Amino acid sequence: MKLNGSQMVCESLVAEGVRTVFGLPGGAIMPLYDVLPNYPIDHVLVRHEQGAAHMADGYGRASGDVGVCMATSGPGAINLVVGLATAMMDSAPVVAITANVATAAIGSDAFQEADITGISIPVTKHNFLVRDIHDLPRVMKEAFHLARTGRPGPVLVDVPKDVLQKEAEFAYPTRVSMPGYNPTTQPNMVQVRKAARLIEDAHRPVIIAGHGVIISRAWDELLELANTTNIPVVNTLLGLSNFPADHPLYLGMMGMHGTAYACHAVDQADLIIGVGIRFDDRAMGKYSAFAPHAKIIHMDIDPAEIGKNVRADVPIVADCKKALRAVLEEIGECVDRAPWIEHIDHLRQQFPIPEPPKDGRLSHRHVLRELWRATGGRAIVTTDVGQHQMFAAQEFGFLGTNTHISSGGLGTMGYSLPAAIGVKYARPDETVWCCAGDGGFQMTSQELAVVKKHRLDLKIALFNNHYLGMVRQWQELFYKGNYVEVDLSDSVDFLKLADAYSIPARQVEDPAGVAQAVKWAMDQPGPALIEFLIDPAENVFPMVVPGTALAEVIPFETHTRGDNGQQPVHVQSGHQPLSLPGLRH
Amino acid sequence: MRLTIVVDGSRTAVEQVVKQLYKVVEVRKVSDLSEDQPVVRELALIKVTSKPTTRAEIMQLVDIYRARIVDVALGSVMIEVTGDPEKIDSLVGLLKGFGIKELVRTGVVAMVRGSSGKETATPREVPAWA
Repeated sequence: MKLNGSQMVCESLVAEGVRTVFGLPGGAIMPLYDVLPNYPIDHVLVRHEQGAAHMADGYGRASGDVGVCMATSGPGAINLVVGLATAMMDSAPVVAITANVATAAIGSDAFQEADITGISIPVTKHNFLVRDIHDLPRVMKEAFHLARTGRPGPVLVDVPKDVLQKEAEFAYPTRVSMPGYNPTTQPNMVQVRKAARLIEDAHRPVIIAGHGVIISRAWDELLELANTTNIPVVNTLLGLSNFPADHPLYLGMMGMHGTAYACHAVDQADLIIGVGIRFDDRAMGKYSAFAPHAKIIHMDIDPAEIGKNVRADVPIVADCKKALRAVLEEIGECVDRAPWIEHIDHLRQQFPIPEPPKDGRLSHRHVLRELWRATGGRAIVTTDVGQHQMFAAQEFGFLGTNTHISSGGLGTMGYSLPAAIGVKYARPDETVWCCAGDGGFQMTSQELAVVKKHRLDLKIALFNNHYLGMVRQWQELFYKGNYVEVDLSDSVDFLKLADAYSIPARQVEDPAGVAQAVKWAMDQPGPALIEFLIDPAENVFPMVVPGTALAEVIPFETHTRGDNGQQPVHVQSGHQPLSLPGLRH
Repeated sequence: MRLTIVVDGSRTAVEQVVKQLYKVVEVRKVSDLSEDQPVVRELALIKVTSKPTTRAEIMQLVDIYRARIVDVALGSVMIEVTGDPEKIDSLVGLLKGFGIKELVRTGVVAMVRGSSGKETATPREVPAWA
């Protein structure tokens, strides 16, 4: 069958089971868009290519299969980069297809030319520049294989315009041959036995369950391990929703803004079982003081993660599902952990998650508790980065599996809305709540056009505290309250913005009005946006201050403000100085 | 294709380099040669100012270092020298006195020695999962 390059790309997408792609056309990629309508593929037209990359990422994470985005050469391709980097850091399966200027023009500074394969090397798992049409089917096959196997990640395929137009014989390969790529998925049984003995004998074990559990869909195995061995489970940020939050052994998220009891449990443990995690700095506190009494079992599919940040006494390089299954089969009688569980329950009571204020100020916590209540904890929640992201991690006890979608590693502002759109395409029947702050939301709010156009049943909770809240918090805590360029007040009327896209919207200022507004949004047949006017002075606690150990976690806000214990002039001119009752001066 | 890469770092940093190299899809095998005292060689071309009065002395140095003169002009000679980096550093140091006009070095290539009795014959191959 003789096809041109554009048809080959489309045939490959169909062969890989792709039904939805996110993209925006331009000069170089026009041959591909010319034939795209002939194939059973829905194209979602974005308003900025960054949105396309995040949508593909959200689609990939929510579906467990590859999300696909497309962009034209030069600026189009470069606009994908932050989305690719986000997917790379969080191991999301994405294939990006970009066009480039014609082969003969490459390197000549032609119109809309950019060396996207050069630019994207550090932010992709792998990339290809297809100079010969005969390579195209193989490259497409390899790209999808790389994106979805091993430790998933983004793969970029750059196809010059003339290659999209040339014709050649097409046969889609049925298998790949990449001698240099052979991820280890089966665990080493010697290590599995060592791990099993450690697990049997540990008196104070803790499981830290991460994103790898979700990627390998190992939640049943994780639950079984916790249940059969009576070991408490702590999540990393991206591990959220891999373990039922209402389980008595669940301790919530650990790390900089995790629960204080999770931090203490990890600190006091004599055995850490890290499952599908990379011991990220935001989650582990000061590395040199991490879990000082513990032996560490580290399961991950990526050998480069073993020993990268913390020592591993027992490394198990494998797919988490297979590793957990092997360990489960190997484990015998465990020591009695009742005293440890009792101690942890004591920690839980000693360091509860802070309560929302009762004096009329609206807290992130009010909103997230209501979202949880209204959805039974089973909605898919996407978050951006910053304060609302951490509050969501603390407050939304995830009960559905793989229902937390957030930019963890890269911390990309503007991720939440486009990611939620991708999620909605992957799982159209589920309730999706997009949570975003007023800062991040303004970075990609143009994608509301997609929500409008397709009448996506997407609910948006906009946490408006009129600040780059997390940066403001750090300026308060670490820069003596010197608030520089974090004030976002007096900018946009979000209700009018929503109205401009014909999206029904409401504003809530009073904690008492939250429940009604959430119900109103859920009752809307299509999209709805609620702007919550959050107390601008609200800070996220617990907090593990950078450079300190998990044991030093500050469970709630007790610090004195400013450098001399006086209330600093809290905000820029034109604002009332904020007062926070409950602070000890 | 085989590349020789020289890195400077702690044992854990070098381990991390090896693992990261394995993540590059085209890479099939990575061997850490540092503990096997491999044969290490580098090639340099050195253009040195020479006058009739200094040419003989330069040629003597070239002999001692088992280098070769590959080009002679009125005011200069070009020397080709192969060896480990220290040897080349040493020759360059001696030639500086005559005036080096141009200098180019290849960087090293390395290979582990063959078996000598009970010594291991092959380079220590780092398994992908290690």
